[in-house]
Amino acid sequence: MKALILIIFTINADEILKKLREDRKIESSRFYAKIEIVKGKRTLFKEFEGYSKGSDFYIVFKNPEDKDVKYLKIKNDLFIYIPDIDDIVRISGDMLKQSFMGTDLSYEDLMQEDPLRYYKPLNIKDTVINSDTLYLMEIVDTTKKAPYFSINLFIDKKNILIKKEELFTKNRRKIKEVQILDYKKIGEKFYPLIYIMRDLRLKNSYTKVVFKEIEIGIKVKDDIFKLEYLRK
Amino acid sequence: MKIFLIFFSLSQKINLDFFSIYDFNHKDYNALLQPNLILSEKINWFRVYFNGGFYYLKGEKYEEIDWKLYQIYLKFYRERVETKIGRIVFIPGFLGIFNPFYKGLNFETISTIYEGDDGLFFRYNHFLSPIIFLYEEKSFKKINSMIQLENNFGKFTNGFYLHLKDKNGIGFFIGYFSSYTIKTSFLKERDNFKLNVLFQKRIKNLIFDLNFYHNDDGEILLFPGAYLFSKNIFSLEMKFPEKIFEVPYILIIYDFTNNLPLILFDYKYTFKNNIIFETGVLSYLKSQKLNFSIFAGIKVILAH
Repeated sequence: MKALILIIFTINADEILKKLREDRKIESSRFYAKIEIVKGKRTLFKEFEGYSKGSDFYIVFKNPEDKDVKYLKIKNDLFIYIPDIDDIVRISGDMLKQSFMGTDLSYEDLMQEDPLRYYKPLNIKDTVINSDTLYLMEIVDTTKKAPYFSINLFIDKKNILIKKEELFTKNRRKIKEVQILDYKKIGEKFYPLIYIMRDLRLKNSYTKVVFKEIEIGIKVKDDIFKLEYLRK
Repeated sequence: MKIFLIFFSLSQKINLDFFSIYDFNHKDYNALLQPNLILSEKINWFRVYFNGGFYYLKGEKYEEIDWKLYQIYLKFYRERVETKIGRIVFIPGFLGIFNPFYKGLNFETISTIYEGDDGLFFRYNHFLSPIIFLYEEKSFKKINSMIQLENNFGKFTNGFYLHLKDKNGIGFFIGYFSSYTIKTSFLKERDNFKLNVLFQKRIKNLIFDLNFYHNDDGEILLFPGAYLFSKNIFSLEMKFPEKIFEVPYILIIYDFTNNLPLILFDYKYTFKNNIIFETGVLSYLKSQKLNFSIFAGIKVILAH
């Protein structure tokens, strides 16, 4: 009997994770986003537009302070275009783990082709949040390559959508929390449109990302992900 | 009317800068008011860029009022070819305060604006990305040229640099970008040798830059409120990339030539999205005497 329950659980959890991975997999996109960075009583806004292809991305900032500053990530390298000198500065790939423009997101958090690919389900159970019954699934990194050791996923049962993520370090310290407030259905898949990320190591701090425009699976020119494109 | 319509259709950025320094030892002050306008627009394969404005510098015993044209150029870009004509900024090698290829060395404050040279720039983006920059040296009305070849190969960025002027210079730069970064640049001129080695490492939420700079002739390094004339400098820079509302920066310099330690603390505070306040202290020990200057500035950015 125990073995049967275990098989049912394995199939169920694995299938849910597979569905979530399929939904989160973004081969290419075009986007226009606004970021609200809140630290205590202070708020800062950033605006950018760009393209992604796999884990590579190209971003142009639109807010006054960073206007026309461009970021290009190619594989493990990051290049920044500075309009004042009309030239490019190369940044070490190690810097991708650091905060994206002072937000609670890292560069890795922002753009990952398939962020759940490193994980396997550990357990799944029902939980209730705001009178909604959700799945609570714990997944763990089995590859030692993921930015977070384990994640608690709170999943809407009807559409199998993540409502909330709790991100843990290896010593079970919860360091970040993501709440997905809205999704957009494109084709048969749902994509996060508005989400809030909290770095729990910082007090009263959160970052809200709102995708004002998003197109998924579109044809993106290879030229965009070349250094020459930054200087255009 | 048409001119106004064209103006408003361009991408605009207006910076209103005010910056002041007070040197306690010389009881001297400098105040700089520097509003500038940046216009940029792309039309097919062309881009026009303008950066200019008003400049007012007031010191204890002098005053300078001027209209400045920092950069103005027309850029043509198609496929791999890039050309620019006008007043252009070109920084060879790696960007940084101890870049041996770039004229003058300075520390960046909110009032720092790059000023270009009148000339013609050509780049062909390929395996070695050759760059040729012909420019006029203003003081001697003479045409000089810079030639650079640069290649990004895996974790390396390598380059060759040639400066053809009265004191011809030949240089190389090599950068390694991984979990740490090393950037090395050296320049050999007829009677001078310049070298810069930078080691950069991120440790948790801090970025450390260790810099060594050598110059046979000695070079003047300008900082807010002080300058050094040095042949050998060792420095440690600390940056705090997680900070966005308040951007602290610490620079500790040891000048071997003059046996002079110097510490600079710079703090930028973003009030809103477009108002940045900067303040800082520069302190150095000279002849057993502690010297220090304070500086403060404000920048308002308007963009369309």
